[in-house]
Amino acid sequence: MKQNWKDAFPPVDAGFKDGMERAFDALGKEKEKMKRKVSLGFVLAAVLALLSATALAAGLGGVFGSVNWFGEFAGDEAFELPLPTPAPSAQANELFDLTQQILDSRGEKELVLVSDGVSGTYAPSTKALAGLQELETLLAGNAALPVAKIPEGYRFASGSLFYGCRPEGQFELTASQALPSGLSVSRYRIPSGMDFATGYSLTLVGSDPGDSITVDIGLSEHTDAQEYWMGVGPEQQAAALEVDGADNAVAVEGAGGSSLSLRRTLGTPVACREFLPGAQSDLVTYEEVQLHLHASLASVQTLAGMLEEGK
Amino acid sequence: MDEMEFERRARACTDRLFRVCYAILPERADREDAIQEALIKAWRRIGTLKDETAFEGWLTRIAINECKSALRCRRRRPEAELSESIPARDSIPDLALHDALMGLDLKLRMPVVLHYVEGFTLQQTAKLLRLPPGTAKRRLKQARVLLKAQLKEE
Repeated sequence: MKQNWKDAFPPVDAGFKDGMERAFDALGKEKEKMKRKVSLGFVLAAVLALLSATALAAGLGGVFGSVNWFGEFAGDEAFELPLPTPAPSAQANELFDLTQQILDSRGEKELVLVSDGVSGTYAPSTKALAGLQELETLLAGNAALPVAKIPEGYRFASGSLFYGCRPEGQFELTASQALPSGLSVSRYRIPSGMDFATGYSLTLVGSDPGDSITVDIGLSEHTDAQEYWMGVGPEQQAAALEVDGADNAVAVEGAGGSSLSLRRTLGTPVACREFLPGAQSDLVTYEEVQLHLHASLASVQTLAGMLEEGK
Repeated sequence: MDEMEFERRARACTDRLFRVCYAILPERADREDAIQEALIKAWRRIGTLKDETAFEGWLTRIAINECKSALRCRRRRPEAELSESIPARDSIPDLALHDALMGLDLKLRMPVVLHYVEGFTLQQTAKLLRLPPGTAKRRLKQARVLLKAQLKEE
C-alpha cells in the first residue's frame, strides 16, 4: 500500500493556530503563576495541618481558577483566556435545535447518535429515575456506586441512571434514518443482560427558590491526581480534605455555592465497552469512582452528610 | 530551555501536532482547546524534560494525552454543542484515505498516524501510546488490513 499518508489530512486550520498562539501568549503569565503556585503551596501545607484538626471547611485565600485533587492551585487560564465563540449561522442553530430535540426524545435506555456526516452528537443509554427509592433498588448489589442520601429540607427533583455495556456485549443498531435536513439518526441499545449502571446524576431542591443540590457519581478511568482540575470561582476557597474511604477529596466553598468532590479506587476494576460514535466500540477499564456534589446554598458539611454511611 | 526556544520548537511541530490532534478530536473547537492546554502544560513541565533532543516526541505525548482527555470529556457531555466547524473536505488532498483512516477505531488509527504519517519508529510509537511494542505492531497490521480493504472498495 503506497500512500502519501500526510495527504489524508487537511492543512492546519486557523482555529488550531489560534489555540497555539493563545498558549504562547500565556507563557509569560505562566511564569508568574508558577511563582504564585510556590507560595500557595506553602500556605496549603498550613491549611492541611489545620484541616487535620477541623476536618472540613478550611480555605486557600486567593486561589482563582482551578485546583487539582490535592487542592493545589492548578491554573487560571480558564478565566484568563476566554475562548472566542464564533457566532453560529442560522442553519447551524437549526441543526443544533433539531439535534437536541432528537436526543431529548430518545427512549429509555436507548443510545442515539445524530450525525451530519462529518461529526456527530450522541446521548448515552440512560434511565430516568422516579426517586431515590428506585435508585437504591437499581443499585442493589452494585458495590461500586454509593447511594447519596437526601439531606433534611430537600426533596428529589430529577435524576438519571447511566448504563454501560459489558465487554462481552456489543451495541446493537436498532434503527437508522436519514432526515431531509441532512442529519442521520442511528439508534442503538445494549443487549438485555449486558447493561450495567456506570453512574447516576440527581437534582435535589430545597424549599427556598434557587436552593438546589446536584449529585454526579460515576465510574471513571484513573486520572492523575495532579491532572484532574476542578473549578474555583473568584470568591471561593478550595481545600483538600482527609476523608476516610476516599483517596482524595476537595471542597470548594464561597460565593457561587459549595462543592465536594471525592474519588476512591475500586477494589476490582470494571471493564466496559464504551460507545464510540462513528467507530467500533472501545474497551475501557474503570478504576475509580468519582463523586461530585454541588450545592447552590447548602454547606460542604451538608454535602458530606449525604455520603455518610454510604456503601 | 527558555520560553523563546520552547516556542520556536513547538511552532516547528505545528503540522505534526495538528495531525495528531485531528486524528483524535473530530471537533475543531476541541482541538483548539486541547492544543492550547497541551502547550501550557508542556511549558509548565519543561523542567521535567531531561533530554531536550526528545522535545518533539515529549510534546506529542502531552498533546495526545490532552486530546484523549478532551475526548473523554466530550463523551461524558453528550449534549455538547454540535460542531459548527465542518472541515472543508475539498482541502483534504486524499479524501479516500482520510475517510478510511478516520473510519478506523481510535486505537488502530493512532498507531497508523504516529508510525506512517509522522514517521515515528515502531518502538517510539509504542512508547508514545504506552503500549507494549507487540501490541502496537499488531494494531498497525490490523489497521493496514482494514485500510487496504476500505480503499479497495472505493
